[in-house]
Amino acid sequence: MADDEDQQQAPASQTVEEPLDLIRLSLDERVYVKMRNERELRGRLHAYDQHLNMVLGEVEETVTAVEIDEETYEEIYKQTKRTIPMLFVRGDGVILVSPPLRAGA
Amino acid sequence: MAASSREKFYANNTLAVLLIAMENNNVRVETKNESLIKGRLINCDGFGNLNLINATIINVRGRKIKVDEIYIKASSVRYVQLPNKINPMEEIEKHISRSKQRKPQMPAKYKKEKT
Repeated sequence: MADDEDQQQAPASQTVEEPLDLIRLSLDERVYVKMRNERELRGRLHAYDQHLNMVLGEVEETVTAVEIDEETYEEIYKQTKRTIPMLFVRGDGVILVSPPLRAGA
Repeated sequence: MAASSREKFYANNTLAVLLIAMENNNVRVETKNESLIKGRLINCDGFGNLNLINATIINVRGRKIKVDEIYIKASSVRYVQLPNKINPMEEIEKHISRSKQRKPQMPAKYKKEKT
């Protein structure tokens, strides 16, 4: 995260003033990122910027594809997963950032 | 690379600073059109446009092409896979302190006092 120098109030970087500040609360935590093209990322948020470019560590990417069976016309959802140790994500592909979904929450 | 004031702003105030800090490392760039480009990152600008050398391009059909140099527009990038063992914040801070060393510093006695 690259901050402007705003040193007038010492703990200014700790108050939540705008939506981007909510992401700051998740720094160094595991996050869930929903991206365009039916992709999802789960990883540790190391850095982000105003464009939502992000650096994620130990990230698992899930790509969801739908196949339609020719005969039965049923929709089969296929998920492809892979893990990347350190990933820079370009912000224009990001839809949302959230703490990871907990089962039953 | 371009040195407009907008580019300089982006180079110092967005995560492009990390890509610039990663110059000379081997990276893997995944593009929005499902190509994978592995190579050594030679240059990156404030917008995130990338210059790689000794690159291998694997397109969506699996075809491999080797090129000496490739220029990748920032807007076509989906992911950049960075070397495994780096610590992003450390690399950014190292890069900023290197840039500060190159730039001549204002001698202390001429610095205006902050009111």
